[in-house]
Amino acid sequence: MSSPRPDSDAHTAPATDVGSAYQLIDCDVHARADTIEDLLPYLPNAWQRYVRETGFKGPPGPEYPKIKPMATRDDAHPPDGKMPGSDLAFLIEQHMDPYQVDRAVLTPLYGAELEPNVDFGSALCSAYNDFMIEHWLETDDRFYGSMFVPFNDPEASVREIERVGGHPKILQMLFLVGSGALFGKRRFHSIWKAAEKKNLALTLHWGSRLPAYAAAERPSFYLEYHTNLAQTAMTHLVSLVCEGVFEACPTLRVAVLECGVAWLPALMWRLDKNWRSCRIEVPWIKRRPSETIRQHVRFTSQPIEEPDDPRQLEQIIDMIGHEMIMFASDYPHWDFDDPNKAIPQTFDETLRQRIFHQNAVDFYGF
Amino acid sequence: MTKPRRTPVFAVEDLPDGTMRRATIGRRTLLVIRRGDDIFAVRDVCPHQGAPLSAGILSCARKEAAVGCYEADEPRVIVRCPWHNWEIDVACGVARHEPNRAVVATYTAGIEHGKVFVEC
Repeated sequence: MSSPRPDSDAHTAPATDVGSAYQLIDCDVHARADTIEDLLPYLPNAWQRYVRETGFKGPPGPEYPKIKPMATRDDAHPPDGKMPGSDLAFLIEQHMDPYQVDRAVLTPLYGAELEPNVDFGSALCSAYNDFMIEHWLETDDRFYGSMFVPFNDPEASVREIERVGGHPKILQMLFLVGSGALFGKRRFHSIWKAAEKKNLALTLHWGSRLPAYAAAERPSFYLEYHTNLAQTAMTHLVSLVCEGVFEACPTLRVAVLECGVAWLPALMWRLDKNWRSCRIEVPWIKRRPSETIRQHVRFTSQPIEEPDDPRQLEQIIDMIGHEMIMFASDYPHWDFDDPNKAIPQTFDETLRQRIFHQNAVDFYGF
Repeated sequence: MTKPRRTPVFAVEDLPDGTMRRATIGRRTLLVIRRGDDIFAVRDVCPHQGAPLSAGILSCARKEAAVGCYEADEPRVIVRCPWHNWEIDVACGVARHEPNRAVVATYTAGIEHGKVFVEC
């Protein structure tokens, strides 16, 4: 017969209500359209017919069973049976209001930008952007948006940025790290320059819709996939720096979402070291790559690494820089970080204020 | 502080234009470089991990240019370290990527009476 045991500290520690304490900004909230039917009104007639005649239901889903259906919390399915994240009233009731989220950056993960038919993909991107503006951004002051850009067609991408990138509540372009492209490459620079003119950030979010993994072949388990996509974020980050994106676009801002943070010191040390030896290849890089990263790039917290001793995580953030991390919950996904629990309360108070509020204000210009 | 002493190290013809050569003065091991009529001398030790710069490559810097532009900065003579490829500017002794943190000693050098000299 087992003895009763008290809850662990993680569950019994009194939680600070960060929503009221910090004017909480959540930088990764996965609102989404429910089905393709939501987007049809925003597609040109030819593509509406294409969708109906081909039975297109949406871009292909993830290649792994993601532990839970739709990779979402079991309690995040709206009562009306819609997809988690698609019922805005439920999202507000379950997440925005209880946590007193002051602002939320909506990050729908759809994959329109990865459609092999770039013309259809462009139309889908535009439709999603218009749907998002009408149904989310213009219905609640707290919501800010991320736009889709069909990056495989840079000219169409620039047109889309010109078309909707100036909307006052669209903050960024959203891409998956596993997109089969390396976003520092020269062929994308025209997109980033157009985004820079509109003051849009370039956002790289964990995930893929393609067999584009970190290294070697497709891993067997979602556990590996989930862990290793941080590698892909590293690859993009190094590409953006080395290809001179920040020299070509000196005011461009980049956010890396959901890829972890603890790896960053090692990456910056290694990149700085190798730059010292290989400068002949990249004469446009005039200062340490780590300085460029610290000036231009920010990272969201979720899924925050959880060492047994939270002081070790704080030490790593000390190495990275207190201005570099912005809070994200990832609602409604299963690996959600509770604002009141995820960031250790042992962290320095000024650092917590930066993570929950100030860093996002500085980055997005709220 | 003792006044630097001018020491002939090679005959001019033994240091052709565009070459570098090791020289020893007392306990100092130096690297002497010739570019046209300009003579440079630095301590023959990379400030990184101590490699002999004399085993490296004499070259010139790249201009800091726009993305995709590669242009040699011919007047800026550098030695590339034989080990980790650090670029040492022989005129001032600094590693070009860390001008405030990594420096190798430099010495006054020149040509006089058909001889290459170094003051140290």
